[in-house]
Amino acid sequence: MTAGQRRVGWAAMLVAVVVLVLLGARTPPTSGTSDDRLYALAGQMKCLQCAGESVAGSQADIAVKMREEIRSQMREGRSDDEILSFFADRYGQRVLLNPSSEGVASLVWIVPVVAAGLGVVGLGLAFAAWRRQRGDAASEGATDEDQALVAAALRGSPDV
Amino acid sequence: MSVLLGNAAISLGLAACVVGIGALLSGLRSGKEKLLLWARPMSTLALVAALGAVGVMQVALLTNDTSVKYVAEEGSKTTPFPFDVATMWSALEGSILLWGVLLTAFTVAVAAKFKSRLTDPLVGWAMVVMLTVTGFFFVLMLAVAPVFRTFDAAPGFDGPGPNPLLQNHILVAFHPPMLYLGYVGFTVPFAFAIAALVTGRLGEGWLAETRRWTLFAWGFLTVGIVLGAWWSYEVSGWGGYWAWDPVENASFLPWLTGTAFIHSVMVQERRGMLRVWNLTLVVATFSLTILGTFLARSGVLQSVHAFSSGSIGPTLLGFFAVIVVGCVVLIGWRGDRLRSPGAIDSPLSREGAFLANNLLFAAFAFVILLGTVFPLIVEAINGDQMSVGAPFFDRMSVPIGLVMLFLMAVAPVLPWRSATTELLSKRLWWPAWASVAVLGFAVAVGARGVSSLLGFWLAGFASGSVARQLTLAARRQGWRGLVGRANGGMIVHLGVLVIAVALVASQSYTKQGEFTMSPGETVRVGGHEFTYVSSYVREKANRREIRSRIRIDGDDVFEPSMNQYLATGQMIPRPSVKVSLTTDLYLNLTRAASAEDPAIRIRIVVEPLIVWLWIGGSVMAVGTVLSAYPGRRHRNPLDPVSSPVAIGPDRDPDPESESVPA
Repeated sequence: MTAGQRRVGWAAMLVAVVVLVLLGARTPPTSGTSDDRLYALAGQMKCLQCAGESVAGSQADIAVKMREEIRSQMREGRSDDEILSFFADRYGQRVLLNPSSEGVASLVWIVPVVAAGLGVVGLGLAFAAWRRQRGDAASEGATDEDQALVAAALRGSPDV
Repeated sequence: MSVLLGNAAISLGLAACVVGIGALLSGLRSGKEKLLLWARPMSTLALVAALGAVGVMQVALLTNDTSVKYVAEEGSKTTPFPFDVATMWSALEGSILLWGVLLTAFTVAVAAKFKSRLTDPLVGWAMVVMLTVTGFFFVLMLAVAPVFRTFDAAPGFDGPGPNPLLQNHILVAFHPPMLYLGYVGFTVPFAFAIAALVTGRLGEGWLAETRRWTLFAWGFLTVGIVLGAWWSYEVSGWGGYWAWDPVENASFLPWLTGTAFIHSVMVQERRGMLRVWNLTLVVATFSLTILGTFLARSGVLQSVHAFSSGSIGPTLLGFFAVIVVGCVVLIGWRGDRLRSPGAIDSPLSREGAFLANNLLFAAFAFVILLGTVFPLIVEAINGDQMSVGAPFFDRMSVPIGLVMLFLMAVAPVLPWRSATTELLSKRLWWPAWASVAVLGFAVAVGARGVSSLLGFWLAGFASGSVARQLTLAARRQGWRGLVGRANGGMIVHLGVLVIAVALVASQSYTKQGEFTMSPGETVRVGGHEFTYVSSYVREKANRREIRSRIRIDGDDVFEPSMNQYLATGQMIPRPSVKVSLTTDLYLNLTRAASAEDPAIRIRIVVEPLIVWLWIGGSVMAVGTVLSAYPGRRHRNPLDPVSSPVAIGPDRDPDPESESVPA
């Protein structure tokens, strides 16, 4: 197989992947009264009477009642955002497991992205520095002294 | 009597540590080699003492000796075997005792492994560190979270027994010890890292000494985490196995940095680079095990797993601060010796991929740490109460996970030093086509959603690379193609990929519902029929089980139950799961039947591919063992560090020959 044929093959693969992913694309329900939507919403809320459980996972009274409330609001045709802010108004922001993107809370979203960006930049700079270093080393080449050291090491090693 | 004996044992252990540290330090100072040999008897004595304390505790638990406060508070006459044994790690004080005994066992194992080299200052300093950490845990057991305290029990007194959630499943006997073996095991590479810093011998020696120790610690931690997820799945009641709970995160953090370390350490061994980074990862891993214990045990964070608080929080936090500050100072002091001699030639190389891997794992660990402690930070700053939970962690993990999968596809076929795109195009050709086939299959069987499909596609790609590497290695080396670091590592990758697919499937395609059912009624969830037949009661020594018979698809009958624990009256549901290779059918009662009302309320969850999470975990464990087994005996030090030429009739036709995994 020539390099050219391979290139065509890779392009075909890319097209196949894009087409297949688009064929299978789907958005989760944001309306309707399905249980999928109910548990997706309940999973974004914290059970305030429990130690570290979501409303979706808990069987505490408050979680059961909140799930009923979510279901009745879903029946009324409210949107996800409306339902979530209803509970946030009633119980405070801490009921939302998904931190808001406003105020101090937004830092939890921003800081990782900034840190990851810095990491990538840092790695890029390191590679650039190594490349320069390698360029310098290559231009110098091995000195006679280096050659002598290698020869001595080879003589001294009984395994070879 | 038990209390006296127990405290005597712990004091003896502490004394052994102190004497050992004193002897070693003066030996290291004066150069008297005899003193350095004390490491072995003193660590053995500490182990004997810790075993004695565990023995006293176990006898007290098994005989329900309520003169010991711990037994009175956590034990009960009615707790059946083996839960009475496991009661030792069902609460704070006992779990510190478990940690301590495992730590002394590791210390003795290190002393035995290096018995002929105890006079080497590197080993001497490592033993000092091991004994210091051990001594710290003895102090915890004696003074900060005393495990042996007296209790004045009235006649006929019986304790409540462990938390019912900790009596509901047999995995309680295995998950904590495994996890602790992992946590404690990371003390060994940490001790050698400190020893290397102190002695200034910062070459690759200490890494080579501790490679298998690190690997086994990592393997135990992996198994511990997977068992924890399994246990959580079996008892949680909603089909979940990972809730991004602070304590779960605390176990995941050292796993992430440990995983980064076992990859980047190969760069240092091959190329002598990344010395500071590797030291940092070792220190981070160890200190995160301590920080995790602090988060789990101090009660600062709400968690299902948290134990009662006490003065142990500040002590652990102080220990954590000492470790971090001490290591930063040591690394700064040795800065001149840590400068790496080499350079990484190209991002498109094995070492370049390892760097990218490290960036990802470090970023992942950072995100999880940040999300876990963020509510505390915000509350400290402006008093606002907020939560960071599963939706945040899920959303952050998806991109990180996808890039990790991509790296797992490309990195294994990369040679050291540098690669060309032609070479990559050639080597990745078949893995890439395999991935397209996997993706096509996923779409054909009805998988939907962009990120899920990308997950399946990349997992297929990475599996293709694993298959390629293992096939080539097996062709060249026969059965040895499955052992050794690189090949065993590929098997670990395979386990990870199995887990990745199971995670994506179970996260994306779960169907569930909650129903009130009267006898004879049938409901449908996710294409399966569930018929409620009847309920009955079964009496056990420590609990009453109200069981409901549910017929699935008109065939098998499964019996979820509601267990009432007699000591506390608490009602804890015990789910019942019909397991199969494709789909788990998870049944959990949320309201049991009673004499007046035979109707039940039941939660039914239909989750695909769950069983592959546990299978993947086992594959990872097997891979870990295989990669600890030596591949080729020793690499000739004069072999070129990049690509030795394959030997034999089946040599790779690639123009640029491929490295034989060493």
